[in-house]
Amino acid sequence: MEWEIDKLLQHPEPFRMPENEADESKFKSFIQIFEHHYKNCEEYRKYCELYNLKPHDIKTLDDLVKIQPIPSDAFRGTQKLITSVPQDKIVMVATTSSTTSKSPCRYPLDADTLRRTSMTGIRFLTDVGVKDGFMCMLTPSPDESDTGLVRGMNHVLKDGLKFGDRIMYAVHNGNVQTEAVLNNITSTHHRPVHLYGPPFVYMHLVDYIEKHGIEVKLDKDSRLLITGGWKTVAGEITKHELNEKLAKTFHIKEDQVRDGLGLTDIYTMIMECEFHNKHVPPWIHVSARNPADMNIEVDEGEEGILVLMSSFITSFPAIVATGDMGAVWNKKKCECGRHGQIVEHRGRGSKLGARGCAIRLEQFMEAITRK
Amino acid sequence: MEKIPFIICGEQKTGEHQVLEFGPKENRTKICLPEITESDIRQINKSDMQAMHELSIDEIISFYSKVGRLWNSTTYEKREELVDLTCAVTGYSKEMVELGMKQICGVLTKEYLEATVQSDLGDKRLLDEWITRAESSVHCQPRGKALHILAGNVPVVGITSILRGSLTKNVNIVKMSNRDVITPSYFAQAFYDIDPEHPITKTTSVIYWPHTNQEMFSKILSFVNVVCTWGGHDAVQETRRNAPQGVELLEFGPRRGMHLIGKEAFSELNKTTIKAAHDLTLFDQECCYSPQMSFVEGDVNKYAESFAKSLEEENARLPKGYGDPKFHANITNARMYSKFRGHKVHTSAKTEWTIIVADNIEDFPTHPLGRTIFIVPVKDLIESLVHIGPETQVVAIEPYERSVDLREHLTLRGVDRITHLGKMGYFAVGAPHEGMYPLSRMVRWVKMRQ
Repeated sequence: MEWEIDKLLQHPEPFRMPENEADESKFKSFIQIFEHHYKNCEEYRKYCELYNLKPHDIKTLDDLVKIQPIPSDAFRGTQKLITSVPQDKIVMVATTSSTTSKSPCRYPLDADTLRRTSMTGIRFLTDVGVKDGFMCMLTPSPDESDTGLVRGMNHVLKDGLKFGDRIMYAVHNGNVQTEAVLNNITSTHHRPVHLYGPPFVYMHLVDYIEKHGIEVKLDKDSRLLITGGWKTVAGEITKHELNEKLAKTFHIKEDQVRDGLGLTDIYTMIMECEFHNKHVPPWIHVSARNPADMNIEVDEGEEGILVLMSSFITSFPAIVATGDMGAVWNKKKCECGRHGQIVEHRGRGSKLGARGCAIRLEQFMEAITRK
Repeated sequence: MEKIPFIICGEQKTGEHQVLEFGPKENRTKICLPEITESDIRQINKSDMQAMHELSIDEIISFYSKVGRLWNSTTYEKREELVDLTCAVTGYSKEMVELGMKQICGVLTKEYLEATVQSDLGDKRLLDEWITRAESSVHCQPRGKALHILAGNVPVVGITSILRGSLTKNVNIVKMSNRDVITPSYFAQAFYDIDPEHPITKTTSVIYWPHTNQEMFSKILSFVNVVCTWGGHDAVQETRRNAPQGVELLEFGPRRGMHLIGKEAFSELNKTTIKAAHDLTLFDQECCYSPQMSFVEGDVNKYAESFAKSLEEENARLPKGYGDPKFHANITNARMYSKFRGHKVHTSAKTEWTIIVADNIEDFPTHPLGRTIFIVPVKDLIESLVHIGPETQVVAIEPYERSVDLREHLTLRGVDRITHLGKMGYFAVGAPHEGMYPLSRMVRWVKMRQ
């Protein structure tokens, strides 16, 4: 079967495609993936039938709002995986963390999905400016963490961008190896040096550097990627303040610091552009729905329940409502020149619990002391 | 911008130190609150405990009866303002706030207050006199200063806490919740309107500080003798952690209610579900007594259909209030989850109410509250017992005769109250609260051997 998404993923400039071309390609990918899940996932088909929805009801991109999302909690704790491919095609079951439930969400992944995940990862990293150099992951290594943001990123860097040994992991046994991090990022001859991790580890590094009066100068092409996890530092520092601090500490420009939105339920990371807008790639569709009526989208920029749809995941219906709240702009122009949707995360629905890999990391690294 | 006064030992104090915002973004209500200064804290600390002690219990009851009559009076100039502001701040509908006012006025009567003291302490004279009990003369002394940390979700509950403080001749310090910074302030203003020189007026303080202000909390805690803390798990834990040794701590933490519906209730199904709907509707299911789950013998779908109709009617009588979009999101999420799981889901047109029917209790979503009930079919009500523990405060049983067989089982599992369907939000006179008689813990029982 020829997948529209594979054509889309081949595009060299997915964020800068002419809008008409992007819309057409996006629509073809989404209608095809919806048909696939409708036909091959019995639970999802029954769910759609409750809403009298069939694939032929989706005629334009605007009709994507008719597609009913699955709450991510439905993937939690079930013995039987929710899947759209035969069991023998599943090569891995990914889990996401939770602070409110002992049962993680379980997502089956097939080889096609993993291959495409890797491609989308390469696309977003190169788009944000990470192509070569040295990557310091402010996280545990994949041996110590099974979270998507660690394993997924490791896979993309090693196999996709061929970073090989030019990666270090900063957290071992729950402790940040601060001196090793500083030693590596200042002494490596592989330039530029990039960092990737949650805000509280960045703050730990900044505190250490300030306290010891150390001079750390990164490169003009360095990127400091933040993985989300802002809840931990809520009330302590704003995004803007952290950006300023990081820029000052590492002697870089503020636009080199990029906050990311980890959409772990659909295996995607969305990174800010240099103007701090989070551009949604054309293989993802994000919709902000009216909290009281999921069939209606709220106006552009208004807060609603975020519905995330992926057109590259074949192994389960990646059309989910995670309980996150956010705003979406479909037509907003950004000075960076990228097209497509822009999304802004506005926190979690109350009592739905905080989910996302950074929260799990934060539990994992409880031992970290931030003086 | 509304300036809501703090009450410092009877004196009103306004200011613009803190601004709290409530309601939908297109129609925000801004409430200005004053600063609590060191001088205020010193004044509260020096409240005239002796004046409170010298009041007789009859004088105290008489004073509160007057407050009840004043609040019940449609000519009381502050009443409309109180109702309107309470609606704006709490988000409750006007009908719900009026119901809350009615409940408060029902409590502020000589009959209710006397019966409360009598049943709680056994003899109201203990507060004024030394009463012979076997070989001793026994008397109830106030503990001193009572701090009430209110939750603000149910107006009458906060008022009840304050009343208990006065009925035991303690000085009241009321820490309002940001959920309701109106009712306690207006309650204390009514004291002044009745008698500005009354010892209850002159010793009552009503203040607010955000929960992040640990310093303020510690300062106040350092001189109080009894703390009544209401609300969620975090709030109660916070008080427990910080309360100095020797302070009597009365905890009214988060709990839930349950409905047990016997097969006999189907003979008058409409009447049954009207009562059940009232329980669910009260204060938009934010109370510790609100039912969250219903175990039903018989045809659950028939029950759910009748319940849905009754909820629609009850919502017309007591409309649901304003809720943050995130609360709507929780309800929507629970509905979607349940539909995906194949449960039967009955809903209002928007998010006013939700009924979810499922066979397997493990398969329900996270409870979103907001007038949502999970219904589980059972062959016999006794099957529900495995799902009921100390987290359940109250169980309403229909028909009530079935409670005779269930009451020992339920209360041994931790349930504190068994009541009629439709009466979960109404407290019988003389009943203990959360497994205790609170007044008896807010006094020091002293004795003199005869």
